[in-house]
Amino acid sequence: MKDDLFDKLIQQKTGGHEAPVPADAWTNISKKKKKKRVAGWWWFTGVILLLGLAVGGYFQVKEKNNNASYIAIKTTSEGQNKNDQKVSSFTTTKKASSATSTKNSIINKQINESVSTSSSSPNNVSARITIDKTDDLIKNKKHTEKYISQKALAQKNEKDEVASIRRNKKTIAGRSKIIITNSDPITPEEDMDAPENATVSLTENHIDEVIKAKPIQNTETDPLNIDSTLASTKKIDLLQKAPEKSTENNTFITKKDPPGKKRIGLYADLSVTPYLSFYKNDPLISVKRITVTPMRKTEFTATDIRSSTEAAFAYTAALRKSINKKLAVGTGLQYSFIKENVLLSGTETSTEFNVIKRLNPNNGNPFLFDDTVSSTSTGKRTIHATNSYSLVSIPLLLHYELINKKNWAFSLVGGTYLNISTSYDNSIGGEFQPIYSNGNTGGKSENKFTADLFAGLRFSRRIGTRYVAFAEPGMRYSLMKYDMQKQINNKYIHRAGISFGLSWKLGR
Amino acid sequence: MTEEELIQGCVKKISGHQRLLFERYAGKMMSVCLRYANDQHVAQDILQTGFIRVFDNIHQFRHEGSFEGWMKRIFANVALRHLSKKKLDFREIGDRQVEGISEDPSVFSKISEADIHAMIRMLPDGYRTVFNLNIIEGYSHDEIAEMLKIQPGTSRTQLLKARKMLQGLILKSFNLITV
Repeated sequence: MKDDLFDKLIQQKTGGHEAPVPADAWTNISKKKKKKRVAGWWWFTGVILLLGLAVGGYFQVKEKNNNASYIAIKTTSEGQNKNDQKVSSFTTTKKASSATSTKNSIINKQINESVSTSSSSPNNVSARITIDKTDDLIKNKKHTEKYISQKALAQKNEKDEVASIRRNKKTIAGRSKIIITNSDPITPEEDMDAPENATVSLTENHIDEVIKAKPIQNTETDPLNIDSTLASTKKIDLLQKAPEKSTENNTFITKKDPPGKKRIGLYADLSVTPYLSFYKNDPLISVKRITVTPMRKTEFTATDIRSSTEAAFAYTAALRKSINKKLAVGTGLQYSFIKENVLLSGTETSTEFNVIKRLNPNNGNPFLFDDTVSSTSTGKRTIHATNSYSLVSIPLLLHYELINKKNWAFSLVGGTYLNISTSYDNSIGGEFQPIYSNGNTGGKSENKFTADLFAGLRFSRRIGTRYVAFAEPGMRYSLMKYDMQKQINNKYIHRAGISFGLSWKLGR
Repeated sequence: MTEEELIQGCVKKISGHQRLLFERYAGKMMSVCLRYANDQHVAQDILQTGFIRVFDNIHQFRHEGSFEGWMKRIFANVALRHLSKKKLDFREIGDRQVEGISEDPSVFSKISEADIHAMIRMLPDGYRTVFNLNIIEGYSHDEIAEMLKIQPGTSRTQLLKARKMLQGLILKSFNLITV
């Protein structure tokens, strides 16, 4: 036989052949499909978390690098301040100012008293400038020039660098960073008016504003020995307010932070979310309900099935941890429920069984015996019911702060809600058999794992040192169908709502 | 339910439609799996993996050929992937002179589909794979060479040997004598 003919005959013989299929093949395929779906979700969650960590890590490293260029000036302790008061740090007289170079000038407008710009606050400026009350000064009323020795500053810097490293470890949210860099001079007005977070400039400081004078505490300070006086100074803690202008050498600047306090740390969030549900039903052909009691069997077949969901609430307790200035991750637990109004219209066939006494007429001695008779009635019936879904969910969320002002902030929130338990309570009794147009006959699980995607916006407002109130409009998109036992109709349920809650900062 | 409705249901990932599709084609696909795998358990694995791949990719079916043909190609690819795990042996087995079977095609009617299948499954792995791909699935030798990472010449030789061996098996089984 020719090969071509042989091949054709083989093709014909094999084309329509069917082999017996193992009985459990479909079950295995269904299981594999489900596993794949669940595995997909774990992958999704893992990727979200890894992405968050990666982005967070990147920002953290970036922030550390920025911090490396900052040298903070240590905050003076109270004890040190007291010492400083005894030996006035930068005490000078007019003679001193005239003896030194005239780079730094102070225009003294209140000349009756000596001048001290030292701050009583331990965290505040401790660079003290005391200007002697002298006749010359009164007469001149113009410029008191002041020179702060570079040597003293260098010594101070060494100490402060060490101190700043220690202090950085204890940085509290909202504190400023203090950097050494080049800057324009600072004026006493800036010095006094500036907030805690400020910039220090020690060269060419033109202080030409009102300076309150105090009696000279150490009038016997050698006016010419400025360097040694300065060198004996323990600390320059913090001069305030940064004139962020030029860049000249040997200038300290403490850079002021953005106006908003950093909401970093660990927060506990409690919130309530009123929301509306939107759903997509699987197309149904009918829903059959069978109820059986000892003396009655009812079969109700609904062909007109309507359902709608009501507004509902979700309650969430969550923890949120900042991983850097911008990003935070959060997780917790949420309980929510969805009320569903159901209207079923259809035909009900009810079969009642009754036991009656019958007379046996056949024998000569008639007797009564029990006989069971059934009566069947058919009619239209409409059932109204309120059913509910209960969900216990674990949110896995990323918060990205877009705006952070002093008292309020605005963030993007996104992630997933893993509904670890989704159950359905059907207030209509009986066994339900929904028949879908695709041939399916309803789910079998009582508690089903489902998952939603979430995206929202969070507006938060500080209402104290530890509390932040927030409102968070958001949308939850259900990725998995709710198909459970006793359910009238399989459906995807999406939700839109707004959470109102309170964040409480844990720890200091 | 028509095939088109079935496909559309499967595109929408409706489980009922997927099950109906499985029930409709499982026998034929199992036959394909057995032709390649020659082992019931491996064939079942291929069947399951194949159907999952069909469900995942059914939206890519462009209605340009028969749906059954498209499915068979998917199953053939899955089977080849399975077979590639165990190294296929394309060595030639010593020739046995085959006299040739009857020219009369009606003789073939005596042989059932199951018999032909059983005999194809008796071929060595290399012969059987090339025979399946070329004669039954319709791949060219170049395509087969690419799929199996062999030379096109090897594919041709394997096919010749496979054909001869199969003819010999048929002769032996049914005592068909050349006219």
